[in-house]
Amino acid sequence: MGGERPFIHVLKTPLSNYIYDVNTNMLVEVDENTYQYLQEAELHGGVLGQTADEHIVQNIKTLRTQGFLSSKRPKEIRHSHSDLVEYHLNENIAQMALQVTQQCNFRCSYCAYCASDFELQRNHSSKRMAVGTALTAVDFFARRCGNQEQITIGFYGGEPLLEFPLIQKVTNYAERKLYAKDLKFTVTTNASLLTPDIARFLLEHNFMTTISLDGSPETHDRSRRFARNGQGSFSVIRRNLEKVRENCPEFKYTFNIVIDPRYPCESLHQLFSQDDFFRETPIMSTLIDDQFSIEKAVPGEIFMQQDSRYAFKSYLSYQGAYEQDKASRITCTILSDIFSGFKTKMKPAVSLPDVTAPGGPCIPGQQRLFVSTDGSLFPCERVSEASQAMNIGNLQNGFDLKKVDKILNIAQITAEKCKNCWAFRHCTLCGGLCDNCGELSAGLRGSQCNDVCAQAENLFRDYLWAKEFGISWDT
Amino acid sequence: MNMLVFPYGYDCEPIVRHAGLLGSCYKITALVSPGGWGLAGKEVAIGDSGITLTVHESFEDVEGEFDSLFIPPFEIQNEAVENRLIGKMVSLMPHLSYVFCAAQFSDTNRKNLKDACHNSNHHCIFTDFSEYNGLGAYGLTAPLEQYPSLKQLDVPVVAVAGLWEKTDKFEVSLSLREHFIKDGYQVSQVGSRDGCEMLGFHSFPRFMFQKDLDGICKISCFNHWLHRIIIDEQPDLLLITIPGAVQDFNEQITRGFGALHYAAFQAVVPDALVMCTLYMSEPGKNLEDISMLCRYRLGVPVDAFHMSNLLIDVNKSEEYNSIVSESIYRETISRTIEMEFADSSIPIFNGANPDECVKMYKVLLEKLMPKDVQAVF
Repeated sequence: MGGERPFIHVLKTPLSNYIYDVNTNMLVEVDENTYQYLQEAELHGGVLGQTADEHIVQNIKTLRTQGFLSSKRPKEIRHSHSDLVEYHLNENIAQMALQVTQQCNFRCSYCAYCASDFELQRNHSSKRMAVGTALTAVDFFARRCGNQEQITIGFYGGEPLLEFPLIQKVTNYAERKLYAKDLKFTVTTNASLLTPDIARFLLEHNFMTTISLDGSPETHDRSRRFARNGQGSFSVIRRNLEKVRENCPEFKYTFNIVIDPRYPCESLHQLFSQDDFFRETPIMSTLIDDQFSIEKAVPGEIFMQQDSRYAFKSYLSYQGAYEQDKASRITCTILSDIFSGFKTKMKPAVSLPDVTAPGGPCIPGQQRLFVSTDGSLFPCERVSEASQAMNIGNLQNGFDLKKVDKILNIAQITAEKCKNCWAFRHCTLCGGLCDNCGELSAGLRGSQCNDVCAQAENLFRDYLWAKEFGISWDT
Repeated sequence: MNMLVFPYGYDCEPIVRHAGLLGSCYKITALVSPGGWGLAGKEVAIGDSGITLTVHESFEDVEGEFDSLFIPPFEIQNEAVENRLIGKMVSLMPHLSYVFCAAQFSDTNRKNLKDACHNSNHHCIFTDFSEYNGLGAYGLTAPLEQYPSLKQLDVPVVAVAGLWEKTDKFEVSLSLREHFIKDGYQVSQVGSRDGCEMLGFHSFPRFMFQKDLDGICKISCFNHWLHRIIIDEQPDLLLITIPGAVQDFNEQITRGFGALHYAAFQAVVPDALVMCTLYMSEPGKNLEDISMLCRYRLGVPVDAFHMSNLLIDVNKSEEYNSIVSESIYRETISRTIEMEFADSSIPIFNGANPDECVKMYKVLLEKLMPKDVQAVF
C-alpha cells in the first residue's frame, strides 16, 4: 500500500468525511480513521504511508476494488477539441456579439471600460461600428454557423441603444439572410434610452433583453451614474420601465445585477424579493469583475455578514424550513445555478484520459464570438480588447488559428502543476484570466490556482453539507 | 425536366452526389441553400455527370434554367422556419411546372404548397412523396390478421442500420446500390427517407410509423410488403436501410428506443449488416460491443462498420437532455481509421469516401457469395 500516490483530495463537513477521487470524478464518504490516513498522505505529496491499521487497510482495499484511489494522472495537457478547432470556427459558431459602439452614456464606478488600467483594457471612446462592418460580420457568421440549429446575435457596447438605428438595420438584414435558422437576438442595456417603441421592436424581433440594474436607488446610484452630469440613473430607468410596461406590456426582460461587495447588501436583497415592481422579473447577478480595474473590490465585513445570512436563509428555504417567498431571490438563484451546474460537472468517469486538459477554457470564438467596432475578433466580450493575445483575427482575414490554439490550450503553460492538481476537472481558469497585458502568463495563471482550488473545495463542501441536511437541488 | 433543389442542405448531399440514380427525366440544374446553412457559395459536383454547380443563397442568383422544384427531406427546426421556407417556395411558383416534395411539412403548409401549385399560372403539378408507400400500393391492408406468419424472402438481404441518427446510412446505401448495379445485379431497395422513388426505389413505408398499428402488425406488414416487392421486381438482392437509431441514447433521449430497427429485423433477417456509427477517436471495445448488441437485439452481428462524422458531446447532451453534436471534417475520419482502427476485428470504413466504400462493398460481396461445401471425409 505504501508509496502509491492516489489522485484524490480529502475534505470534511460538519457531519462527515469525504474523499474526492479525481479519476472517477466522484465524492466518496469515508470514516474518520481512513480520512486521517488519506489526509496525512495528501499533506506528504499524496504518497500513502507505509503503515496503517487493519481496518484502514481493509477500507483502502474496498475503495480500490470499487475503482477509486487510482494514481493515474494525465500524461499530456492538450484540449480534446484541439484538432477540431478549424471545424468549430468554420461550421459551428453558436453566437456572435457585435460591439456596436465603444461609447456609453454612463460612467459606472466598476466598469471595466472606465475604471481600468489602460494597458489591460480599452477605455470608452467614440468608436462606432460602421453599417458595412456590421453587415459583413453577419455574413461572416452566416458562413460559419451551418452546424448550429439555434443561433444568436448579440448587441453589446458601450451602451448599445446609442446605436439603435444600426441595431435595427443589422436585425432586419440578419432576419432576411438567416430566415431558415432559429435566430435569436440579445441586447444588454442600461435602459436609460429605452422607450416603448424600442421595446416593441425588441419584442417583435425575438430579442432577449437584459437590463443592468444594481438594486435600490441608493445602491444603484452609488455606482451607475450618467456620464454627462454624474447623477444617479435609477429614477430614469424606473420611469422608462414604467412607460414600457404601460405601453408594451408583453415586452419581457431580465435584470442583471452587479453586486459590489464593498458595501452592505440588505436593500439589494429586499428590492428584488419584496418590491412589487421588481419581484416578478427574472434576475441574474454577478460580483464586480475587477480583473482590469486598478481598485479591487474587496468584500466588506457588513456585506459578508448580510450576504451569508441571506444565503443561509436560502439554504433553509430549499430544505423547506423557511418560506421560499421570504428568501432572497438573488441568493436562491445563485445557489440553484451553482448546484445545478455542479451536478453537471460531477459526471462520473472511469479515469482521466492520458491526453486531456483541465476545465476552464471554451473553444475561443465558437461559443460567443465577439466582434469589436473595427471588425477585430475576440473569444468573448469578457476578454481584454487591448490585448494582442486575445485578438484572434478579423472579419477580413478570418481566424488566427495559432492564437486560438494557444488560448484553448492555456493550461500547457502550467502543465506540470495542472497534471497533479486535484481540482483538474473543476478548474475555471480560461485564457482571458491568464492574460497579462497581451501575454499569456504562467505566473498570472499560477497565482490564481489557490483561489480556484478553494472555490472548488467550498463548492464540494457546500454541496455535501446541503445534502447531509436533506436539501435537494432538483426542484 | 430541369430541377432546382431547395432548400439544399447537408441532408440532401447524398442525393446530389448520387444524382446518376435519378430517373433520366430529372436533371438537377440549380441548388439553393438558405443563408446560415453553411453551403452557399460552395461548388458541388452533380453525380458523375461532370457538371459542377455553385450553391446559391437566393433564387435571384440562379443562372441555370429550371421548371421544377425538388424539396428534399430535411430536418425542420421549428414552425416559424418552416413557414418562411414555404413562403420562399410559393414565391417560385410562376417559374414552376412541377413540384416534388419529399419533406415532412405540417398539414397546413402542405396544403398551402399544394394550393399554390394548383393556383399557379402553369397549374403546377404537385407530387407529395410523403403520401406514398401505403400498404395499398401492393394490395395489402392492415390489420394483417390474414397474414399471421412471415414469408420467406428468397433473396440475399443487406441491411444498413445506424447506431444513431445522421450517421450517413442513406449515403452508404446509395453508394452500395451503385456498386451492386454497376456489377450487374438487379437491386430492390428500401431507403430510409421519403422521396426515394425519384431515385428508383422505395421509401421506408409510412405504415411503419403509424401510431394506430401495433408492433406485431408492423412486423407482419413489413415482411409481407417486402415479399410483394420481391415477387414484383424479381431482384438479385434486397437492400434495406432503416431510419433512426438502433438504440436509445439514455433514459431521457430515447428516439423510439430502437423499436423500428427491432421490428424491421423481426420481419427480415439480413444476410449482411452494415452498421453506421458515430465518430470515434479510439476503438476501445466499442465495435465488438456494438456487434454483440446487434447479434442479440437484431439477430445478426455486424459485418462492416461505417464511421460517420457525427461526434456527440455526451456530457452536454445529458446536461441539456437533447443531443448536442458536431459534424467533424470527413478527412479526419479516414485518418482516424487508418491510425487507430487498423487492427479492428470487424472491418470499419469511411463509407462516404468512394475508395473505402469499394472495400466495404467487397466485404459484403464476400459475405453474400455462396460458399463451397468441403466434405471432411
